Amino acid sequence: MSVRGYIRPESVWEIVDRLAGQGVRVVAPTRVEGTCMFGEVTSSKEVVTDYLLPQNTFKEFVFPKEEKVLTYIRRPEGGYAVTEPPRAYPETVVLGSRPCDAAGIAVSLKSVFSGEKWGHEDPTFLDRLAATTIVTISCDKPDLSCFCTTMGLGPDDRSGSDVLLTRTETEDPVFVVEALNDKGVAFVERLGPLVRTDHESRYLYLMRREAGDAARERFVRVFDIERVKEFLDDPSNFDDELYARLGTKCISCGVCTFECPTCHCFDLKDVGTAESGERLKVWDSCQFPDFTLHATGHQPRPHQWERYRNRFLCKFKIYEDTFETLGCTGCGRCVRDCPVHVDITTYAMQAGAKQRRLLEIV
Amino acid sequence: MIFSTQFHDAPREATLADAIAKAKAWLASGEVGMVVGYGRQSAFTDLTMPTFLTDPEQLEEELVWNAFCDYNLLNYAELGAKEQHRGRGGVAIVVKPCELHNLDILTEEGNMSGVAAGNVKTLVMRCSGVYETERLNAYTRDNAELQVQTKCLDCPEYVTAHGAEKVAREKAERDDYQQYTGRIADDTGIDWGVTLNRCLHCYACRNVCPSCYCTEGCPADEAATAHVTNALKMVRGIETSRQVVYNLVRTWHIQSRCSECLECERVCPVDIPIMALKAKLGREFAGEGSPGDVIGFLTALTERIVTQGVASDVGTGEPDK
Repeated sequence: MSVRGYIRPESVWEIVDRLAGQGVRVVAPTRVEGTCMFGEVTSSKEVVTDYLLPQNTFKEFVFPKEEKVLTYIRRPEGGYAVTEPPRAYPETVVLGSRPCDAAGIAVSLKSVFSGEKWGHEDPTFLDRLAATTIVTISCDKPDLSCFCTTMGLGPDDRSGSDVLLTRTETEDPVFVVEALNDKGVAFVERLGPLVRTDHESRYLYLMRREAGDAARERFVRVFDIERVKEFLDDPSNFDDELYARLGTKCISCGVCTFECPTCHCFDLKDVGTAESGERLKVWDSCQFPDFTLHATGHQPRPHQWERYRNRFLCKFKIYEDTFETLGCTGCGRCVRDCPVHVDITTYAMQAGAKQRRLLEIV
Repeated sequence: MIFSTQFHDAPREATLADAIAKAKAWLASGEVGMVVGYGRQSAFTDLTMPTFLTDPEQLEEELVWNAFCDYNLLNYAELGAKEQHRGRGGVAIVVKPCELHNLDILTEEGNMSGVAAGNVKTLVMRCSGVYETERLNAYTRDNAELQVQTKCLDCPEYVTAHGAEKVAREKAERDDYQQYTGRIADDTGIDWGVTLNRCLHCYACRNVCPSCYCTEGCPADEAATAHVTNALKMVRGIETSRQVVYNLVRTWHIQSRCSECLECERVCPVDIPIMALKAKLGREFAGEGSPGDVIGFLTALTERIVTQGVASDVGTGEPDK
């Protein structure tokens, strides 16, 4: 059993003060303008405690939106001197992640950048992730756009997290602390007296399971992912009318991609002159018209609905087929923040309904 | 909000049924080939998605009109030119009164936007305010009370619908309205270097802007901003970032054509106060006219707006700086 004790509700965010004192970079939900976002904090006073899900994921702390890959300078004697920036990353604790983000970043994104399935390893991501401890707090309720249970996760899912804190639904609620791997155990040890052990861990485990089950009840399964996958697996559906009908609504911005915990596409850009300059790795989005634009001018996805089809396929088929992890963890950010309220679950529901109708006819 | 428009007195549709009747007649006579309207997002919410209808029978089933119709359908006005090209008249678009100014811009610049009176017909709805739908979401837990967008408080139609007294009270009570107007008047509390570098370069503000219609050659796109950022560094020795250049170029580019519909602020995933930036640019460069030397102008822009020194530390997740 992984239960290590419990933390009193009022002490949870004191973790920030304790860790900041030890020189650790702490990333937690904090207030930016009118909204709540993951950001670096140095004191528990900066933390937003009544959040449901921060607007961004903590992806940018392991996969920065803009990163220098190398710098070059022409040598006077001829040729170029190329230097890579040092790969030393500070120890980081992400406090207050949610299960959807932890699974999306530490499992799905990792399956892409570790190269296990396709042979291209990204050490900058892996080194950053290795230096990061992910402390997840279980959800107790969804909002209108959450659909993690549809994707096979849940409000108390452990995948990707190093430590999981779950608030019990008892009269005197406490946060049950579970250390899920060695990194998690080391983290809990650093917390010292904040983690109390005067309850029996078997009791805490049962209370935690009960809270998780109760929370799960409050989540709705929106569509049947098996049906959607069947629909996408059938190549004859590639030109289905569904794609053009729903995809035309998309205005081709990158909000959904940049807020997504599993979107990983990036572009390499050389900035500078023949004398000196640098190569940058920047986030890219498959929704942009210049994504996949060939040097010849040929664009294999000339219409916006074709780009949206690509995103839909990537989330529910390509990710699973290529990296064998979830392409979508159901965090719902793309649904919440779409400027024109395009809802990927509506899309999936309609795809699934089409598949069901086909099965009935057969 | 700007209301001077040649379409100011366009007839209003009092109810959705009136609009549907009109659209049906247009579709039947072939005056329009498609109706662009608001349709239901899903069975679970009142939120709306854009919907494109060609069959008159679908109109009653699909179209909705409620306070969740927050975005601007004139973004799809270029479909009008396409429909006309196909020989099907044009499109009929459901618009809110506050969006008529955008129609003004689009038809005035019709040789570029492709929008002409012949290919875009409007169904102007009588509007009593649209909600801030982000309050429905998860980031803050105050889902309970929905309120109308800040732009609605300045709208004459909203005042007509709810009475001047109530609107004045609402303006005084709402912190977000006070903050919005306060920032436009005085931006000294905003650290522009930090704020603009929060930008994700997602282009939501540009793509949602009803005054933007170009499909290529945008002066604010990826390649152009990277080039300008580089040129600023090489030619003038100014260290800035693509994020800063993007925001300055885009905001300047729509400066005179902005209808203050606040769509850009609504969709920005990192809540950059774009209208405050626009107001600041207006103050800084009042009376200076259009710049001839682009790099020189951008140097002035970055120097005057982002005075907080070097703004190249762009990645919030970048530890080694």
